[in-house]
Amino acid sequence: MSARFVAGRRWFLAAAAAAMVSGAAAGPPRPQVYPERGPCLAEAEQMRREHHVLLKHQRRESVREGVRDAKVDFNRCVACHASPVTQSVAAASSDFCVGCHAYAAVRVDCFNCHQPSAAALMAQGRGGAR
Amino acid sequence: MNATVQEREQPLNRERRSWLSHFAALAGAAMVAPGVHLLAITSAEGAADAKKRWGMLIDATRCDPHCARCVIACHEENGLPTPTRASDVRWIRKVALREKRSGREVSLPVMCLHCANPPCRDVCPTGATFKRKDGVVLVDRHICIGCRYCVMACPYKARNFVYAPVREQRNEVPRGAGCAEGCTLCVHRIDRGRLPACVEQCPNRALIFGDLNDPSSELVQRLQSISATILRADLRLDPAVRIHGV
Ligand code: HEC
Ligand code: HEC
Ligand code: HEC
Repeated sequence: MSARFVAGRRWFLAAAAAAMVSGAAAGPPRPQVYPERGPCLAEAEQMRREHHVLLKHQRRESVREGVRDAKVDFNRCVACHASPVTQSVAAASSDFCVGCHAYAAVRVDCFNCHQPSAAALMAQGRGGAR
Repeated sequence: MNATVQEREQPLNRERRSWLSHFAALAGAAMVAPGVHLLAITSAEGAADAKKRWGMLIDATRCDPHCARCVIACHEENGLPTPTRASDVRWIRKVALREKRSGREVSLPVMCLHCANPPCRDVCPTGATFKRKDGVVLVDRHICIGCRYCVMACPYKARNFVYAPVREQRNEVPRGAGCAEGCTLCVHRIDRGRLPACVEQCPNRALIFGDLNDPSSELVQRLQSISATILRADLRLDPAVRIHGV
């Protein structure tokens, strides 16, 4: 796994989160969310700061211990956060997992392996984690 | 496979099948109670159970030489592309064995044998290859560095390396370039109480899946009544996949 980020990323996170909360006009792009698909696993504030901690914890639990259909299941993020246009969380620069990361200079390799498209999930009636 | 038999790979006859109906059954499982807000990080009990040891019996006497349904099922379930070159990924492959003197031929599928003492794990420099509590040997691809020691170490040639970038992953089965991989016994299915795809799709019941620690399981009952072969028993790897009729 090779994730790269700039030095002082904490500072970036703080700045990004603060700017998002205050909704400053010159701030980062605000990710599009779809509350009609259901609530997130936690408050948006906590998700902004801790989503990667949750994901990394969950992946160990799932891969090593066989924990299935957990709250922090990767495909659930994809199903809820996919854009209706691209049906993906990482296809276009405006897609959910891309905008913030570009702004905060975070690079994740998750989508080399994890399917960012929710099209198949939607076809199975799992869109919006229903 | 001993010195008196030849091994050759059989071509894969591809036929398409819809998997949607199977996955519709899963739809309810991913739900979480509405209004769950605070998220505590806990150590949840997973489906991997140390009291179990998953295993399989491959009954070559029931395997049809002209059938490759298990191989097709594996590729569709795990989103593996149809193999065309030697370097393409195969988690399960059909082989034909021929005894040189008598000319007797048998056909059977082979895959990762999920050894109790897996050499792939022993050589892994990062701990990416590991054995789950229930005996399933897996690659944690989050820490695999793609060194391919495991590919070399496996005496059954069951480990693959992914050379080309992957785009068509199934959501349930993430996989990508630069990692070693092999049969997972369909962990994503067995953890939810379903059979591995190859076992489910075999029309002749030549594949029997079960818990080697459960004396009442069909698997153990069959193993008690036949003399199943342990491939390369001399290596003392104690594989969980046994073979009958070779
Ligand atoms: C049931 C649907 C659902 C699921 C599943 C879900 N989310 Fe959310 N998520 C939402 C909604 C709705 C919001 C907006 C909440 C708000 O603004 O109060 C949100 C907000 C967020 C935010 C903050 C975005 C912002 O406004 O700055 C992040 C980050 C996030 N989610 C990440 C994830 C991750 C990672 C996962 C998977 C582990 C996930 N979400 C799973 C529905 C979901
Ligand atoms: C609200 C903006 C925002 C959204 C939306 C968002 N992220 Fe992040 N993400 C961040 C920031 C900021 C960091 C850096 C956090 C840090 O380093 O403390 C980060 C870090 C990560 C990391 C850790 C990277 C590393 O190098 O350790 C992962 C993994 C990750 N995000 C996955 C996702 C996924 C998957 C999604 C889409 C479901 C997503 N993120 C959506 C802002 C966001
Ligand atoms: C090299 C391939 C690869 C990469 C890159 C990768 N994963 Fe995974 N991931 C897997 C595999 C394989 C599994 C195991 C799936 C299973 O057992 O069903 C998995 C499982 C998971 C799981 C638990 C299962 C689930 O669906 O929720 C989480 C969470 C997860 N990965 C998060 C991440 C995050 C976050 C990143 C990026 C920082 C990432 N992965 C990058 C291959 C990869």
